Amino acid sequence: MQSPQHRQTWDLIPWLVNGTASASDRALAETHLAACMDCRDEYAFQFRVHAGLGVEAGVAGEVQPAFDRLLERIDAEQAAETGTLPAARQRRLLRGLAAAVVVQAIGLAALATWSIERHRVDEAPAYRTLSTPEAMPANASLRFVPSPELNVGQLQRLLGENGLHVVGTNDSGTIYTLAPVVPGHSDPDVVARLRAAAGVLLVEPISNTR
Amino acid sequence: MLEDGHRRSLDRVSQRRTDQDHATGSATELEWLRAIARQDRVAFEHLYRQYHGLLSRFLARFTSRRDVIEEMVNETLWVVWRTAGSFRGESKVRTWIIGIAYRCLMKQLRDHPAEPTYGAGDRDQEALHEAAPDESEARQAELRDWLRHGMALLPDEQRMTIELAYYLGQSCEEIAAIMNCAVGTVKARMFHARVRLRNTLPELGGEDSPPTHSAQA
Repeated sequence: MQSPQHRQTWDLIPWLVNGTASASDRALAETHLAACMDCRDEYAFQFRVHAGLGVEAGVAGEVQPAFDRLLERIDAEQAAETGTLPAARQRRLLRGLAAAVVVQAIGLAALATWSIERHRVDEAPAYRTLSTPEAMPANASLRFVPSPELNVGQLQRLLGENGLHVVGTNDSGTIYTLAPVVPGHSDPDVVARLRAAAGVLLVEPISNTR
Repeated sequence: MLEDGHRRSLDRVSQRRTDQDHATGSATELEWLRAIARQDRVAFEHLYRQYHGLLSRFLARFTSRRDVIEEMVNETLWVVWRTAGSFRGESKVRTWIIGIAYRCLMKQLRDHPAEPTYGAGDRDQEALHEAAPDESEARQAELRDWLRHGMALLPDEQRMTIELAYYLGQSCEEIAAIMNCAVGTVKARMFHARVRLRNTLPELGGEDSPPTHSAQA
């Protein structure tokens, strides 16, 4: 028949062996061990197991490199969580960002310069609408279209009589731009005289609004 | 009464345990842990250095791969760094940290069941054996070999219970806290582990020992 003390002592043996049993448990077990060969045998067995397992083996690696690796991990994770980087990486990133900003500024300046130049070129469009004012000399007053029959001598004489001279023409030489020979001189009847002259197809005043 | 040899051994382990209590339950470790909760890296380095060797040796009982051991040690102390603020003082700092190491180890054993080999570095044990110069030391080496093989036959939970009790010197209650189970579960695991060791290691019980043993009187 198993006595309660025997079972209790048997269960307590590992904790007696490793020294963690309470004082009351130890007293109870010691009393039973003194009278029980089986428990003493088990105690001896566990004592040997304990002694055999207690042998230290030199397996620990170097502390500092291992600790440094752990700190690197902590730094990386904290950076990922807070959106910040370790000081060294922050400095490297800051330098990189500054360089990127400079490059970007140079690029923007170049782009702006190119854009302005291109805009200037584009100011004179390759086409012209009827509402677009024609580029004219400042004193141009009349747009004049002679008939093909009007020769150069007749044209010179007609313009001379009316105090005008040619200051511009279109590409095909069929439309002339006329201006007073004397700048600022204005003759309100000149249009009527020219229109009445032979060999004239069109006379039209130019409104210098520019 | 106990025989003199057994009484002396009981006195020795009790004294050692008392000394350990003073050392491991120190307020210093608690202060370190509180400082770590405030992200104090100096305190963390103190704690790391305090536990690196202990955890390495303990984890080496279950794998001979040093890279895996370091990985588990660092994983354990990384968890300490991250969760130091959650320590409520319900156990000793040492027990709390070993509990974290235990969970890391169990995860490793689950994820890589075929990899770990029992014994604190087989090469170290073999070197001890070969270097044994006299009969006494040779018997000790033989004892360690027997134990190594016997422990390898135990289920992980039983082996862990024995190691925590005999290698790290944890009490039954502390092991329950470490393994997050009831004290009765620890006692049951210890009981079955002892029976299995008795059956696989009859030589340790002496020439006249029976092949099986139980609490039957």
